[in-house]
Amino acid sequence: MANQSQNTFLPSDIIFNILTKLPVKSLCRFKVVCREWNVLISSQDFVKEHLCHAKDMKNLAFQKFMYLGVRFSISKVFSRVFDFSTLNKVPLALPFGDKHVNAEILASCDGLVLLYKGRRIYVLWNPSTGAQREFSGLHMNILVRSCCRLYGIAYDASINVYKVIAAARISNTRESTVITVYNCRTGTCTYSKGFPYWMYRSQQGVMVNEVPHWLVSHREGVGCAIVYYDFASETFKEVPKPEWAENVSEVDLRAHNGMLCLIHFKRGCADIWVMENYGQLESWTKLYHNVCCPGNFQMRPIGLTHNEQVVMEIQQRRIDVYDPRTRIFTHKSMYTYHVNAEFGAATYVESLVSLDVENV
Amino acid sequence: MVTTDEKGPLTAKKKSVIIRSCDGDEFLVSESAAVLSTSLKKILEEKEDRLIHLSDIDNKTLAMVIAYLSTHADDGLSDDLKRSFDQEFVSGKEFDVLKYLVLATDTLQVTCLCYTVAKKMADIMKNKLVEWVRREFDIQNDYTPEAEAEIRRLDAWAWDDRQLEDD
Repeated sequence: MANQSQNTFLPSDIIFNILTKLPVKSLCRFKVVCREWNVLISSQDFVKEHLCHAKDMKNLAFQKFMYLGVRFSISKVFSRVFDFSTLNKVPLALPFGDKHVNAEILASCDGLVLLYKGRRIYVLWNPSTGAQREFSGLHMNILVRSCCRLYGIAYDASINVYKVIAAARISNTRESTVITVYNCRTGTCTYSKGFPYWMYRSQQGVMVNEVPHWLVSHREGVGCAIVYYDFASETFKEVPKPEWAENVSEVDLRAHNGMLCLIHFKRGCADIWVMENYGQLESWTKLYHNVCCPGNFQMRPIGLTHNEQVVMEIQQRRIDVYDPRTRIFTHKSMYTYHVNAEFGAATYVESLVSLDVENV
Repeated sequence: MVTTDEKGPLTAKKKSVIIRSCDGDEFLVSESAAVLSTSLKKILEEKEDRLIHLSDIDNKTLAMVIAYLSTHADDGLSDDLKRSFDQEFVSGKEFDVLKYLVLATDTLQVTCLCYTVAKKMADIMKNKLVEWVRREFDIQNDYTPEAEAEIRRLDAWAWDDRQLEDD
């Protein structure tokens, strides 16, 4: 049935085109319009095209930033989601309720978020559709909350499956690092040991070019490298870094406007660098020079606004909007998260990506 | 009729074509504007004829598409001005008008306008009732009441706490 939809005025490829631009909530309601729309909205092609639209940084209504806050007096954890198109925040119910005060946000990719629930249980969750799946076994069931850890989620296009990559340094040697790859389709973990780098700080993977990146050292306290996990070779590979980054300690890796971004902190200010063409050493460019935030707090860019201002997360407890033209910070929101500052917040996109275990 | 000169690439920009709508009205368009439509570009490459007849696009819609093409072919306008023109272009337009417009941009293969119009349509639709959508797209509900209830139940969360519009 090519373009001849039943009764409709518009051909189905135009309908497809329009529907890919709708929010997830509207799409879930519009499955009821007719059977054809239900089949269309549920199809893999549609989910992929919708994701593609959501990931375009220009479509701000699809860019979200979620963060956790803990109220100790009542032993509850709450979460909120910040919308880059409206610069407003609204409550976001966690899939396991508000009682798990050890909750962490470990990674995010294509609208899927990896959460730590507590008691060695992890949850893959799509905050937009509410789909979720609990699993255990990450890190060989070793309790790793106090260890140095890296997390990432990525889509392995060669076999059409999302995978979680996790690494934890169990003791003070490089060799003791356990690397786990969790296959979201089969629900199984594979483990390996011997990470060729030194992890010095817990990190969420920085998603650029469809893979998670982390900042690591060559040896304890020596040098720095930007690495990503390569599914084809099942190894970690390096992305070239600018020369100045070799021997500085105060540096942070993030994503900005779809590019790898290094934040170089120095005496209360920061230079913000981006890699304009992924993988090309000579494309590292200083985007903003000497960004000074009142109070000299550490900052990281998390997104953009309609008029090309930068939304910054300050000291993992505040959301500000920074205008690069006037160099002024405007306060937007405040939150507190204490447990492990690296795992208290994440950006994600609104998508229909599902967690269904397919029949293999 | 328009006289066409064939003095070579220097004057190529000044050349014009005539586009006729299905109502029979003719529009004079510079060639630099016309070629922004992939379909018109193909037609112009294939034949010498400077008159193009579009049998399925009406006057009103064609006039809008041509206004868009002419603005985007104007080298004197900055990209910022063109962007704000695009926003202005779709704002306030009725859903019905947009339906004809999206169909015309699809036929003429004007990709960026097609994108802008589809996005605007999605923006209008997002808070509408299912009944409104069925009406606007002229779709018959082919679910049994039980089947419809089942689909609604699966995504029950999408139906609450929202003021849905029917006009």
